[in-house]
Amino acid sequence: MGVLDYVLAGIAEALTGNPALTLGPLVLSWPVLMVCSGFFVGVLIGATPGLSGPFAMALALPILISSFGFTPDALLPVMGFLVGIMKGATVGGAVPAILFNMPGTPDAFMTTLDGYPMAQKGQGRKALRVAQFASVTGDSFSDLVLFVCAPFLAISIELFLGLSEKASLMILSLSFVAVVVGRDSFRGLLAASLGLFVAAIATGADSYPRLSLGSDILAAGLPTIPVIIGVLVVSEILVSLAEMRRETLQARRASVPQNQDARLSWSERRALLPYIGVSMGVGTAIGALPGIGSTLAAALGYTAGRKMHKGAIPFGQGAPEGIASCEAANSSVSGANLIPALSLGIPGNISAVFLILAANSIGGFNPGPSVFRFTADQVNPELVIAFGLFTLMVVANLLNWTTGAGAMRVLGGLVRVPRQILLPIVLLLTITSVYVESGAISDVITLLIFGFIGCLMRWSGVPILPFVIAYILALPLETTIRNAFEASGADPWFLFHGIFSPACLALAVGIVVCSGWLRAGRPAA
Amino acid sequence: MSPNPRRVDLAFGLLGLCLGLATLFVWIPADIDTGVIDTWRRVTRIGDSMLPAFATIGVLLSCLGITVKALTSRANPTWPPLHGSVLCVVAAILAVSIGLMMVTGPILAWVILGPDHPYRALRDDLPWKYTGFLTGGTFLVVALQALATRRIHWRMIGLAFLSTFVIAMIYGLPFEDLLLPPNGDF
Amino acid sequence: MKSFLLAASVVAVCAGAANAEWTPDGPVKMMIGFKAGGGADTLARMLAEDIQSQQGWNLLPVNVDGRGGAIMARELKDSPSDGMTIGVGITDTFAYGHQAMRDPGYAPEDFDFLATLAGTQMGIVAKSDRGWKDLGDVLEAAKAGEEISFGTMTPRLADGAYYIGKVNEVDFSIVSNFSGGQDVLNAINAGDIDIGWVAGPQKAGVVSGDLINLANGEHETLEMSPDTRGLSDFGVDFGFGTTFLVFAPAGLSDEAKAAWSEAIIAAVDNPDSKVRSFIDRLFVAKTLNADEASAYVATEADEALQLLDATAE
Repeated sequence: MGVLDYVLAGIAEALTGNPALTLGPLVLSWPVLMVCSGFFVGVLIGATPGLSGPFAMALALPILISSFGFTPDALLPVMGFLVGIMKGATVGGAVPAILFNMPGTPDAFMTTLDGYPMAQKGQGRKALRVAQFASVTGDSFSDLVLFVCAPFLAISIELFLGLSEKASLMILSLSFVAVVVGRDSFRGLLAASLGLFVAAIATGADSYPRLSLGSDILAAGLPTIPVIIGVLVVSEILVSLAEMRRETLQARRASVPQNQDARLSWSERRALLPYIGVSMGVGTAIGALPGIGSTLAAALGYTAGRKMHKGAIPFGQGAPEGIASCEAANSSVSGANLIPALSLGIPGNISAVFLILAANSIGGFNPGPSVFRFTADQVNPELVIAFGLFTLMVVANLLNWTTGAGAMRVLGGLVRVPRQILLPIVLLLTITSVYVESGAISDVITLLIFGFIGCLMRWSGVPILPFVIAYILALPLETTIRNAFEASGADPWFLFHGIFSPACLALAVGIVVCSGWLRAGRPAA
Repeated sequence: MSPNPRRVDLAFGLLGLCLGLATLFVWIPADIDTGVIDTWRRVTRIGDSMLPAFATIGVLLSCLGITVKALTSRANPTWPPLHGSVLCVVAAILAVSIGLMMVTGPILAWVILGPDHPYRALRDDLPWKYTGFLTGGTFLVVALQALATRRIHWRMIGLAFLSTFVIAMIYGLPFEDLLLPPNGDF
Repeated sequence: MKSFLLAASVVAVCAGAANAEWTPDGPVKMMIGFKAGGGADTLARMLAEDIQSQQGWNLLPVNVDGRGGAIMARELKDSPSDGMTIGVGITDTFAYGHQAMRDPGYAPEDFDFLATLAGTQMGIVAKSDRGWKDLGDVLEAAKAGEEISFGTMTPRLADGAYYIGKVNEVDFSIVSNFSGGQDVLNAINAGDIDIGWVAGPQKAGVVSGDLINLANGEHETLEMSPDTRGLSDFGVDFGFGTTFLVFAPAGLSDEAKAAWSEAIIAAVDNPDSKVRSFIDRLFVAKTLNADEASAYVATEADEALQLLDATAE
């Protein structure tokens, strides 16, 4: 099979494989159905103040796995739904930021700077249009970069990097994530080390499950999905509940009557394009690096836009260009963030964590360089899945281009339930879906324990993301290191041969040591 | 009243150092079969202790960094409130609601049907299947909402029951062979 | 779900098998001892699909890979022996693996063997562009000082690699952490290792000329490349082929054992089944029932002792 055959097979697999509904010649496949429903769910959740994409993914993943099962046929529908949520939540997130001045996620904070002033002037709907246009443009661009770069990067890694180089590259990515996330690099490093340690519990190659304290419960191993959802989502819910108790209820904001005319003319769109162009370049470049996510991209895109801007309304007082700069930047992170995930198996952000989690739980697709083997003699099913996933991302983008603005308008106003009412229900949903997936009460208890561990981490300023990424990466890293060591003939200096591997390790040490300087350039968001 | 945040940082770093050292020198050697490097039948491999040992060294280095920074830096770190007491209440609420989910069904069945009916046979049948989840779930939602808003209202209970019911339907209807959350699952 | 169960009972009745009394009363967990995407994995998943369509039993495959199937054996051993948890792996794990490990954590007596499925097409594989024509070229390169890394997926194959080196006075760097032949093959293709054991998935690459079988690990000739020289040409008299089989924790009732054995053999012997067409592509079909399979594992265990002696240091 040639490259084109693989692309076509992937498209066919996504669009017509596994049909859910057949009407004569028309086929609606499960993957397409799931990516579309994921998108609308994502917009709805993203637009709900207090919720964000990771919540939706955490809730959906266990349910998806229990309904689609563990066959390779389940991969595209499940990952499609997650991709849909990722994209939907990205556009949806702008709604509360613009209309209510409530950024659901840190990266939407910059959107409030110009979005909310526009809403106060009655131009909220237009602001939403600008946000959607910028977001979908940035997102589509970022996806294109992903489609081109991921296979290319994966192939060159397979070609040029040996086992010890791959291990060093993983160490480098991990230390990079540890250093750039969070308020100080020591705490990031602590988070990553803890992630590695927790992953070591009850795994390993000996017959005695290591660090299991002789307990049968621990010996069975910690269930991955509850650990991650607990530390990521449950802790967020618990901390928010505690904070809400402390704060007096916020006075409800008086709503400003919004101008119904939300049209965005072609000339207006053209005027926004330079801002979108710069921001999506920035966002894509940042997205391709693991760990530094959309918040930094939004900040940099906004700053770049402000420097370019010479219009009548200054940034910060309701300039559409401000919204465009920020939304294009934070949306273009999402596609590029999958570059390290798909080509190296290194998750760069939370969406990638959930995609890798889905692939690992279902089986039959191991994100990493071996996915992109264009074998001519026999079909590489993983590559077909990868192109199927790319197809679904295009489907989601088309859906976003055509219906995104409408979905934002309709779904954006739908959920007005206050957070203190909503979050306990979301917690119950999380508990239920984790239980339903495994059928074991011990998984629920793990979920809650890691929820409280997450609270402690948030309190002490230890960032969650490096913990989660290290937790996912630990066992692949350990296996690679074991193999590299044995392949070197048990050479203790196996990581220090050649140029690439020592360079990666030196860089890893370098960025940890120089993190103070790296951090100084980073705006406090 | 609140302690100096730099002191808290210092205590945090020192605590991490102590726990890290204990892990490295007590837990890991005692609770793992093979060392960092393991030789068996003439083959030298990386043992099971490698990953946890390096992870613990990472913990030690970062805690050392935090400690040193707390001792030398002038900048005051910010520590958000822990909400310790609230979190304890939350933990109690969670424990009670999961307990309710697990025991409501068996207790009700025992009270109504008498002790002769083993619950395992009943737990997939209609009234019993949902009793635990509905009581436990409603309690969880109401208690947490009341905790967050500092008040309780009949409407909240109604809403909580309704949403729990909807969740039960979402999971109960499509997956007939799945039992709803911890229902007599001991 | 109801219609599914109905269909299942209809199939069970129609099948009219002598042991139709026993059927699993719920979904069966099928543990696979090797990595997703490999030969053993595909074999097991195809078998699950066939049993599902032929018997109406619901099977849920899970990969529990590592240490040549030992990790899975440990986990399966502790499952209840009610026929609701089965494992798919290779005879190696029970004939050799537990004898070569310091603390295997399982013994062959912990399992009831249900049926064998297929024999391997074990070869020592390298990429063709390395220029080696057979194992002799590799041995020469190693003697000339080139460091050769040798990928293996079970303790027996690791000992085999060591023994080949010992007989020929060569030191291979043996990489033993792979979870199955496909995993080894991926590493060979990626250039992570030089040569390695592969049990069948190399066929397409060998046929197209990208890969080469440097030596035949089986006693019989390899179907994909009949001209490949046997290991006896290089002073090694052992065979390294292995057999895929299905097993359950020991103590299974006779009815359940017979029902499983029949269901598995029916699937493999059916020329139109998915598992059969997969076996015919990569492996050689080899069906033995429960008793024959146990006897087979016992003979292999006896042979294992010789290799263990030969590689003891």
